[in-house]
Amino acid sequence: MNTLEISNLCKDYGDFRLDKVSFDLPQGYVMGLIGPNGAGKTTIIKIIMNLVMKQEGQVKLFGKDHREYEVAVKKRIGFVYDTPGYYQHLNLRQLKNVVSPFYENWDEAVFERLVDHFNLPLNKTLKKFSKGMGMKASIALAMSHHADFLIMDEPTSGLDPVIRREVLEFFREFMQREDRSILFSSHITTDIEQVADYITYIRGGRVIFSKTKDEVFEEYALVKGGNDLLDYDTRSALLGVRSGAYGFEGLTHNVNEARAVFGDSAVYDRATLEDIMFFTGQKSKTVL
Amino acid sequence: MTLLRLFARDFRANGLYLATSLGILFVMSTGLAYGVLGEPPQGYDDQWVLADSIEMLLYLSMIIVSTKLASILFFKIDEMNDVQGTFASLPVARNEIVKARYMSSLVQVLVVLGVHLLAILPAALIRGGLDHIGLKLVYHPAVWIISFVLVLLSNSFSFPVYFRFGLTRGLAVFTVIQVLMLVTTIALLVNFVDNDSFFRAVEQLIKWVAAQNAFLLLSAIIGGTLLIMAGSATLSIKLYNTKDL
Amino acid sequence: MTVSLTFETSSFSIAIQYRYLERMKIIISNASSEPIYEQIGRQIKAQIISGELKEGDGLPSIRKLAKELHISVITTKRAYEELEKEGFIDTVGGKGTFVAIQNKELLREKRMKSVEDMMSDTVTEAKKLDISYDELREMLSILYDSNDE
Repeated sequence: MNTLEISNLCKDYGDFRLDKVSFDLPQGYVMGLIGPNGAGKTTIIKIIMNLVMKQEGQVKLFGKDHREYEVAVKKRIGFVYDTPGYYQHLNLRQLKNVVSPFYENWDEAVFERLVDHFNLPLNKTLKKFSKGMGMKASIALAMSHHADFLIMDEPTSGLDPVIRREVLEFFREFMQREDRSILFSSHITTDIEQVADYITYIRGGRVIFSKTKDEVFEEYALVKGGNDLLDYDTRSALLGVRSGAYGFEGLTHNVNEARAVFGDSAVYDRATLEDIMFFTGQKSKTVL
Repeated sequence: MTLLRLFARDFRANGLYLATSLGILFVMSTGLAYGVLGEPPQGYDDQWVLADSIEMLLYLSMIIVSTKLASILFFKIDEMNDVQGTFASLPVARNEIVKARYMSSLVQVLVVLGVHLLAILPAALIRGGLDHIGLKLVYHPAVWIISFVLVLLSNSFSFPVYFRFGLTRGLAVFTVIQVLMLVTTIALLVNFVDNDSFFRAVEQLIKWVAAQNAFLLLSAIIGGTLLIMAGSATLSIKLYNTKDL
Repeated sequence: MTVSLTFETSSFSIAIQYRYLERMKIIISNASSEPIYEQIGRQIKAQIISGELKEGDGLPSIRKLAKELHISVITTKRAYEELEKEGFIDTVGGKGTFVAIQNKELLREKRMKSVEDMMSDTVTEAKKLDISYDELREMLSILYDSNDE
């Protein structure tokens, strides 16, 4: 069963458009949305939450249309905004009292444990919260109604490494139950490498790929070698090349094919998501 | 139920703002009421003599403007804190968000009018006691019904714009329109201060209105206003349902 | 030693029960060219063959293992699936994953194979150093005897 099914999503903003975005997230898994700023990650997430209206396409949450069953599906979702909008004059306890009545499944004990776990002050007004505290408060508020599906927009951006790890560890703990799923966007690719099972790469409003992390790392690789290996033909076997004085470095999405082209004189390294984003984002294939 | 929760959160989340603004309003209102109650207006003869008192006019506009402002306080606070998306992401339907906002604004209007009514009492006490003759004037039901109806009508016209474009942009447009209307009205009245026939006509109208069955009249006015408000809410729901937050 | 303990996640009311295998050791290298699922499979296999993991020993759930190793559930699932295919482990629906009852003959064969592999490495290394067969046999016999004591 798929927790999330998105097909042919379109939204035209004039200067930017989402173009037939489709991907699925099976139940029980974590999906990371990567892509440069302005790629459309936030728009996709907002469309899923029906905060932004789609123009075409379909979104299904737990197998149900996200607009037709809006209230029912949102009960099962924990949502975290990248810049959470909360009443700044309230403290966390007061804010909780404002938010909690909307959830029938609100579990005070879970909330208290989360607040304790994250070391959050209940009596301090939100405007005095740091970015990290704000994000943790936001997670605590989104997680205390036994949600099955967490949707988060940039939950780790702007957090220091210690808190980031805490948050990621928390995701892993959340995923100890197999009826749960997480969708989160981030441009911190290492966070996604660490916790995602599926990776969906968005660029310029289109899906470049949506696959399991293992597939991505088995298919993509960095090819490194001397510049003598590079000519017009071999270049075209690479998705992007950076050529320097002492050699070149390029990305392939098919290691075996690259091996056939470049042979044993080249070195094949694991490509990170950052490598993939860097090389696929180059304006032209030839830099020189 | 969700509707009530949404309605309640406006007051629950903003209690302190509310109390503070009502407190300030009470003091201001008392001040203006003190001015109105200064001397019994010339030629006071138990009749409706609104036109004879500029203070009364100021007082009335203050009531209307402050009530209007108070009724959009929740819009303002929501926009300041950027919470629209947050609440729309809760398990609530957008039409309930709109309905709840109309409800809370209506309650706000009633509360603020209540504060103004109470604020007159200390002014009267200072001016010489609760038997002050001017009390009859300021406590005239027409003052309050006119304020109530005008604010609700203003909200009915402006809320759809707020829901579609947000308060800041929406308010800019409507403030301009409302100020223009107010200025025109005052200018007309000031021009007509010495014109007997105009005021006679107004008095005639008021007398005619006053001669009607008070209960029927009141029901018609308030019912009509609420009907317009319901229409406005329907329009707002339509606009808000397709808004990108 | 197999211990049983209750692990209460710090933020959820569900308590996850699992048998914690103190001895099980898995080290993942991201730098290695060997896929992670193979690294896991190889290490668990080696521990079963060596007898460190015994028949009926419980293995952590795929989710637990993924959490501990900071890898994808899909990877641990794949590793377990491969091990199950090869008959090293069994998954009992609702109860968990256990080291399978090993075919004694087969296990012995597998262990023999691993001894053979190690010896083959030894021979390769010895040849590089020009160690003669007799010298090697001598070394082996000394080692074999001293290990007995």
